Amino acid sequence: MVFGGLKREGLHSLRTSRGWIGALVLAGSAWMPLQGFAQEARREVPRSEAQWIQAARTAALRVNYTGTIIYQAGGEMTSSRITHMFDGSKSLERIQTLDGKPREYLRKRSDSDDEVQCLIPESKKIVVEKRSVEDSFPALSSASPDEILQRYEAKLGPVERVAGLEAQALALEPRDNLRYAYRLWLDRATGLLLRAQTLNERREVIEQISFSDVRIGERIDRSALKSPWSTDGWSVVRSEYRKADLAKQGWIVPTPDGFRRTKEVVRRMHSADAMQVVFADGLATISVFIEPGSAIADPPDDSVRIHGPTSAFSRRVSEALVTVIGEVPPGTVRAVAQSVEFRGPR
Amino acid sequence: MAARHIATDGKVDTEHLSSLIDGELDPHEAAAVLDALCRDAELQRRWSDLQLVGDALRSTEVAACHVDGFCDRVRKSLADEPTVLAPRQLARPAWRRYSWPGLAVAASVAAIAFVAVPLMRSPAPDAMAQKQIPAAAPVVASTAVLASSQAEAKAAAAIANARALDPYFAAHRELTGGSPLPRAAAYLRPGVGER
Repeated sequence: MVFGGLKREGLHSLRTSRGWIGALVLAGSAWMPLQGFAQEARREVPRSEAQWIQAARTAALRVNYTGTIIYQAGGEMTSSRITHMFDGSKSLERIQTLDGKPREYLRKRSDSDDEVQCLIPESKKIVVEKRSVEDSFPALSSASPDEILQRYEAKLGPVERVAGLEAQALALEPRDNLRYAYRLWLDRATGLLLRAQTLNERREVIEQISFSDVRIGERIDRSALKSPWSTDGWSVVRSEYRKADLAKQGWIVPTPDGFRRTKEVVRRMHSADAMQVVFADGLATISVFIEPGSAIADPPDDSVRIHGPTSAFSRRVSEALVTVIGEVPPGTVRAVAQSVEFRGPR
Repeated sequence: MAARHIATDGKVDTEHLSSLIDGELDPHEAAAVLDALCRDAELQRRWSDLQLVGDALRSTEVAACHVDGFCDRVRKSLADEPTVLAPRQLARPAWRRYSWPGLAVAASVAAIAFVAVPLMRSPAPDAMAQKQIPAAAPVVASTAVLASSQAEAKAAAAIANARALDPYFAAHRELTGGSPLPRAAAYLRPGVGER
């Protein structure tokens, strides 16, 4: 009874986080007229910071929505159309880019599976990325609120208007300088994330994603989740990786403070095997790549390369090229790269 | 390339200045336009007008800075601070340019409107740093042009280097979602599916 289980879980979180009225509003098909009443009722039972994070996580998977997303980072801006539907057991998502090269991303998530197809018309190619569900950590939608609150101080802000909706502002300040700060705006009715910003230590917005318009909770036709492109004869490219044990190969990659080691894999890169270790703190993530005997030229200098919220740093350790990349401040990727050691295979 | 003729016939028009502002010139071309800009008062006036138009489009506050004496004050403080000319952030625009060349114009507006960091564009970061200098401090400016030719080699390396980051970025994103922002963000980032 997958469906029943999900439904119970959904209702439970609704009940704890925003009361019966919220549950009724979501369940009812004619929820719009009730919205004002529901908000009135919610004011009496304010949600805590942790409950808001939980609400955002649930809504991202369980709520139907369609709208336009503006994304900005590193001085770039792009807009896309997103359609998301929850059919009771699967979450289906379609993203169409509206700027630059045409692309479509089709995503399917269930309890056991998470797959994204990227459609690239000019090269008639479909790139398929598959994750197991535990892999999808640490998106906001799967990180536990407690884990986030251990590393970030959360503070509720004012209620503001975003994409025509009332949104609760929530600030997440890092408790150390290894990570960036975030500001979130969550739909008061459903908890859906309407806008998110990443801020550096100078309080500058370095990445931002926001709905410019959105419709929440409406019925979505399945045809809206299919690409109109005929993909007959397109080639399918699958990314592949397998589990690995770096310590066995003599590599010491210490876990940075306040992060959790979520993955150690081997994958094909630059037509050779490379090791990848992933760290996450519930919001920010870091990957460490180790390419033994890499023929790639040394980095031209020891500067950290930055793009929007992403920092990258490379250095040579023993005969390998070590590259650290993550959505963290430049100092963090540098420190992580410098902590990597080779002690020879055991 | 229209701008390449500048070096030989010395003719620089508003279009060249506009290209320089938009970061569409390579370092060599940018140097030629800057050179002309240093010598020609009329060009300097047009340059100033172009900047005013751009600033006014982006922000009324910045446009308000176009008052008499403002540029002189900026020039003076720039002259007192030669480190401004160091092309420190080459890698960033190089990566950006590789990913989304078509978005340069939109990006330059977005950078002012939403990100409180001045965006240095890939071809001529030096030109951006010294854009207020030419009239008052030609000596400093020509030093910068020299620095720019050295920077050229560095820039080429940076571009190659930035491209080299793409596979790491893709692999990182695949195992992490790439960003704490909604998962969608990960797929809207440049370089996705370009492998």
